[in-house]
Amino acid sequence: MPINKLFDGNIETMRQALTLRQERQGLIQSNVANRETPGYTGQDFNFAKVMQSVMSGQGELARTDKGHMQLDAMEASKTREFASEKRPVDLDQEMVKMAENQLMFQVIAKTIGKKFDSLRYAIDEGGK
Amino acid sequence: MDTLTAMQISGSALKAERARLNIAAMNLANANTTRTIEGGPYKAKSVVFAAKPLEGVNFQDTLNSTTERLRKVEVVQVSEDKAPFKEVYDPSHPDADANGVVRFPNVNVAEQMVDMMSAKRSYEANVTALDAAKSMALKALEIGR
Repeated sequence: MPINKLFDGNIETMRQALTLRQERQGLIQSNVANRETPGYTGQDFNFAKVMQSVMSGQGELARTDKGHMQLDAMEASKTREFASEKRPVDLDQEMVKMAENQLMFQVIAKTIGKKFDSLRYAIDEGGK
Repeated sequence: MDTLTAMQISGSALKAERARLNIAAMNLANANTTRTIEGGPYKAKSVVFAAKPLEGVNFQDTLNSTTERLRKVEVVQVSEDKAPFKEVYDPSHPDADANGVVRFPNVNVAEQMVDMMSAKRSYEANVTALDAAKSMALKALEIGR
C-alpha cells in the first residue's frame, strides 16, 4: 500500500468542508453585525450545494494558458452559489444558521480527529 | 479568512452598539435639559450605521469571494433629530419666553427606551456570534490531539 493512501482523499475533503464552515460563520457574523445598517443585504451560500460541486469537481476552471491564475474548485463553486438575497437580515434566522454551522463545524473537526486517531492506532500497533 | 477576521466583525458591532447605547443614555439624561452650550434646548441625537469593508486584509484574502463580501459595521455619523421642541406653558420657568412658553428637548422617552433595548439585544447577539467563532477556533485546535 503506497504511503499516500494512508492519508486518503477524505482528509482533504474534510479540510475543505471545515474551511467552508468557517467562511460561512464569517458571513453570518457579518449579517448579525449589520442587522440594523441601512441598505445592507444579508448574504450566505448553500453549504450542501457548494460542497457537492467541489466534490464532483464541477468547480474546476480550465486553464488554457500558463499565465492564467489558478482558481481552486472551492472558490469557483462558491462564487456561483452566492445568494445575494435582497432582503434585510432576520436575526432569528441568522442565529439558527449560526448554531447549525457551529455544530457542523464541531462534527467535522471531531471526525478529522478520529481519522488521525485511527491512523495513530495503526502506526502504534503495526510496530508491535 | 480566518477566525480572527470573524472576531473583528463582531468586535466592530459591539463597539457600534455600545455607541448607540451611549447616545440613547445621553438622550434620556438630557430629556429635560433646556440649556446647552450651543444655546437652546437639547436636541435628540441618533447614530448612523454603515457597513464597511474589512481593513488589513492580505492579498490572498482579497481573492477569496467570501472575505470580499464580509462587512464590519461602523458609526459614521451622529445626527440630530429635526423634530420640533416640546412647548410647555410655564411662566415661572427661568427659560420661559415672553409668552411664558418653555421649549423642552424633542426627546421621545419611549422611543429612546425601545432603542436602548434594541441596542442591548443586538449587543447580546454579537456576543453570541463572537462566542461561536471562539468555540470553533478552540475546536479546531483539538484536531489531532
